[in-house]
Amino acid sequence: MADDLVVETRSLTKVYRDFWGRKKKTALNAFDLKIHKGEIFGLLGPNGSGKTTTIKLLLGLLFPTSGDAFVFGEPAAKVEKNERIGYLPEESYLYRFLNAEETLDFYGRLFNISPDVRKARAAELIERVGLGADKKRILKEYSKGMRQRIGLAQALINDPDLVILDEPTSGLDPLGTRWMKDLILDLKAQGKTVLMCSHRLEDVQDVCGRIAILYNGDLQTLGKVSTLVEDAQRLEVRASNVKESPELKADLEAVFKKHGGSMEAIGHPSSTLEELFLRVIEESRARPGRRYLPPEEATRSTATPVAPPQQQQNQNRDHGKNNKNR
Amino acid sequence: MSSALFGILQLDRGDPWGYGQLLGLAQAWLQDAGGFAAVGLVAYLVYALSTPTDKSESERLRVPVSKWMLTMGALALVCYALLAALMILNKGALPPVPPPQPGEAIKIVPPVWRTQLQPMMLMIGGFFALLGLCEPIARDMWKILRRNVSFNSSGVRRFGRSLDAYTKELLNRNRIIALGSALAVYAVIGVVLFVVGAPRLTAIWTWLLVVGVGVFAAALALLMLFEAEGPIWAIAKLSFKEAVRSQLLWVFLIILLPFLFPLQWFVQVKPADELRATTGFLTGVMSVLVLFPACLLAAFGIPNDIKNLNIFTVVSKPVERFEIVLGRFVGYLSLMTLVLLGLTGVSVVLITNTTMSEKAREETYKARVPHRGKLEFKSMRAEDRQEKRDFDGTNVGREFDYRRYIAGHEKSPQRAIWKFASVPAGLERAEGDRVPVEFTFDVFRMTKGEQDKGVMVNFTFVTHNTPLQQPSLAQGAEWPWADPTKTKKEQYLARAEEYRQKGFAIDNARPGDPAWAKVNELAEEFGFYEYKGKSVLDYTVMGIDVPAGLFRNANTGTPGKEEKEQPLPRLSIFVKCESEGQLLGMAEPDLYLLQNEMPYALNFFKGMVGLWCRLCLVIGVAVAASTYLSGILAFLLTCGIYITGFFTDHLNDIASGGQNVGGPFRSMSQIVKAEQPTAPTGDTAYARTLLFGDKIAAWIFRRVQNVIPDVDSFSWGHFVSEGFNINTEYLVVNVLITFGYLIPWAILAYYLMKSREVAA
Repeated sequence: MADDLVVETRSLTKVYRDFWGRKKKTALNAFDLKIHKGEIFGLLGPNGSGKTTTIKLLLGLLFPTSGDAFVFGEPAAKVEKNERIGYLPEESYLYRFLNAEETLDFYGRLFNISPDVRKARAAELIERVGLGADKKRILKEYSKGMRQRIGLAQALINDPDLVILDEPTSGLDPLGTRWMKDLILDLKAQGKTVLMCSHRLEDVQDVCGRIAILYNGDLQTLGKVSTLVEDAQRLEVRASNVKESPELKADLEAVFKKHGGSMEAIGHPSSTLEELFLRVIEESRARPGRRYLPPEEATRSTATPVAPPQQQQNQNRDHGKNNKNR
Repeated sequence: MSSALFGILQLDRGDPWGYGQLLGLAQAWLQDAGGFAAVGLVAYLVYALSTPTDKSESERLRVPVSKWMLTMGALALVCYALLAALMILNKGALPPVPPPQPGEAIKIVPPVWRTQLQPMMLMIGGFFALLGLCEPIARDMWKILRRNVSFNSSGVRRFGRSLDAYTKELLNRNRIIALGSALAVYAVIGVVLFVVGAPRLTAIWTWLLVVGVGVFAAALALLMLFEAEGPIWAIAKLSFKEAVRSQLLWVFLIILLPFLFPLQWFVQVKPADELRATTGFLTGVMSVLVLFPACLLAAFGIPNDIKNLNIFTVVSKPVERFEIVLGRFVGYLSLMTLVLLGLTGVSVVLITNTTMSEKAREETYKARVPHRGKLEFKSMRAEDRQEKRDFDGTNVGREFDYRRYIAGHEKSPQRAIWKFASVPAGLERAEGDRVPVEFTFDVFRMTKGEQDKGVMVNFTFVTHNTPLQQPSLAQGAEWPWADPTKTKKEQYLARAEEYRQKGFAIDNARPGDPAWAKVNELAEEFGFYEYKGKSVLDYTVMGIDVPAGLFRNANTGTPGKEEKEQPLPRLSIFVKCESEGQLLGMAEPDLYLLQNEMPYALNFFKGMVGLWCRLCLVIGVAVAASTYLSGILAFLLTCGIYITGFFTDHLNDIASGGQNVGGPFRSMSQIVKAEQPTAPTGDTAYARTLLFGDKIAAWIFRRVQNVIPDVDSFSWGHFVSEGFNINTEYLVVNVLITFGYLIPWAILAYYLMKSREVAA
């Protein structure tokens, strides 16, 4: 196993059987995977495709029917490898009668972290996930998003080298989702490896370097996100400070024709809904009392209207560029 | 409520086990647990060897098969094969146990170390099987031990640090206000009680404060212990918190609260039985209301973790599966131990500070330390009585009665004789130069006696230096001294007469009288003391004082031999009934030398150790069962095993081949054919088939019997309620038995938890 290999599966297969040993379903079929140090790897697939099964096999929550799974070069069945793993399950399955501090203390103790380090790290993580004000409340009283945050904190209590996130943005609002994605990118910046699975493809696209797509337990595709989503048959041209007009369209058609192609469409690019949402919330925070008014009322009213569409687009474009740079 | 039936209660269970039985117990444990281990080892090896591990390193790790396991398995197999050969050749077997008389229950023989080949082979085979099966456990336990137990000074440092942390955490503002307010309210109550002048309530108030502080300190110490590093302690603390924060425990405690008060506050009880009834009732209710929530908590702990998927976040940490099991067990057991400690403290405070009748105080408000002898019944020789058998007590036809009877008459030669092979040296210098002898007899009246008037009984105490001789027909009712010179008795009588003439009333002397010293002198010199005309009431604890000089004599010299070449007992007590037309019934535990008296409260606490052992059983079985079964099934299984544990005698009867009632096949045939149970089975092929089926059923029942704990043997409430000390030896042996019983369950839990796919 290469030194920088963090996760490796070899023909990993999992067949679920009933009480009598009869085959119920092949959840994973001869899955080969290699994840290297510092990567953010995404497992994609519809429900029942084998994403969570893969994670459970890597963590030793399930036993493989055949094949092998290795984490940090150790077989998945060894509990010692878990020292360097942080795991956030799909739902935050934590003890609801504990408060945030007690929860982190409990999980810290499972790692045998010394009391001083445990205490300091718990305090830092509670602040980091934004639960400082609610640390004494029991988890039963938390919202789903708050539970997901404390779940993430428990996954990071041991300062893991590999973070496994099962549907990390599930149950989070767009702000929470953005926060989670930023945090994942931050983990990568710290040199940690992240393995995540999600249904929310845009989240995966935003943060993952490589992905694997599973369907019915079989690996369908594997590779870099940028390569996989690239459409080599088409070309995209972007321009600014140019107005759309029939002349422009005709000129461009002529240029494309000259190079053996044809123009499919011309128009203004749109931003994602997430970007719009984030911007609106940001503005609302900056200007308390701001509210939406229908256009006819907005013209009559002295209240501040929402930004005109053109301005929104410009801002969104900038935001999109920033994301890509990351 | 019936009167003192301690003799019967104890006869039911046989003599309490002591250190003398430890070797035998260890052998029996190796045979039984080893038998199950052998089955487990075979099942594991078959599973592991049939699992394709050649292409998967994970599978090889999950179901490891080491050379050690295979070697131990092979050695166990050789031992069991040798055992089978010995059985076929009928060599090295245990001596056959004589079948019980029709109508008599099968007695459980105390375990002893057997040196015959068959039991030895069974034991060695079991030992090898255990060694094989426990190899992965031992390896994991070593890891677990290193992670959870500090072998250096860091443990002490951690304890100091957690003490510091707890003090700081506990002393936050809100807690200080809450605790201060509670203490202030309590102090006000105390002041009011003191001012009003209610000394008994003030005493209760004081002692409850002591109990509260004690339990609080114990809880604090326990929680600080849980601060030790390692997953077991973390999970134990989690279980502790879970149970405290769930409402289940508190509901049960509130239900239990009224039962902690003395029974006579609520119902009318015979004065002599006040304490007996309260203690018996309280221990019974406490058993149910402590064991039930413990069972519920323990049975649902792990299954709820699996159901709510909390287990994902635990198993995905560097935690061995068995650490989860141990953590749960330690957590629940610690909490319930604290609850039991608190409840016991409160009960003792309320019982000991409540007014109780003098009679009850005299009979049961103590913890007697008895020294018991062996009971024999004798009369004239069989030939003189024109009987074939020696006299062994009369059966008055009381079904379920353990006592045998002697007929009352001035000239009756019938005696109940208690023989003491040893006499504790402490009795030689007993306080006041007197040794109390206590007894509880049953009076069976052939003629209507006078109300509340007892029967006349004579007690004769002789040492091995002055043995008595079985009388012949010519000698009549009196048992003569076995003195070839026939001068010793004359000397005794002459000396007694001399004292009488000097004005010492030695015939009716009681401790404290001037004549008591002379009685002691006589007893010490001649090894003989007689107490005549004691009025004995039916089923009442009574006693007489015996001069300590007699015991000094008993411990002098080496005992000679009896007629049957048995060594003479150092002390014998002959009991004779003088009242004509009355029968006096006795069983072995009915009479004893009172060695010492311990405080009742201490004995109550000791009695609760029995309940604690049952608590361990229930929590252990429930946690082990919950590693595989759902919460409700684990709960039902634990309840089933526990309740069946009350019927071990019946199980024993069935497991021994149904000697009284026939086995299941024979019984079924009798039911179908409408035959009487006593009808002879004959020697047909059909009858032989039934008997063979019954033998197989008995074998299966014997295996089932090994899984069922003898719950009754941990119910020590009757010792406390009857005022008998629970000796430390008995206590230690039973605690060892409890853990011996739990070890196979722990092994089972280890394998079940390790092989369980928690996310499946």
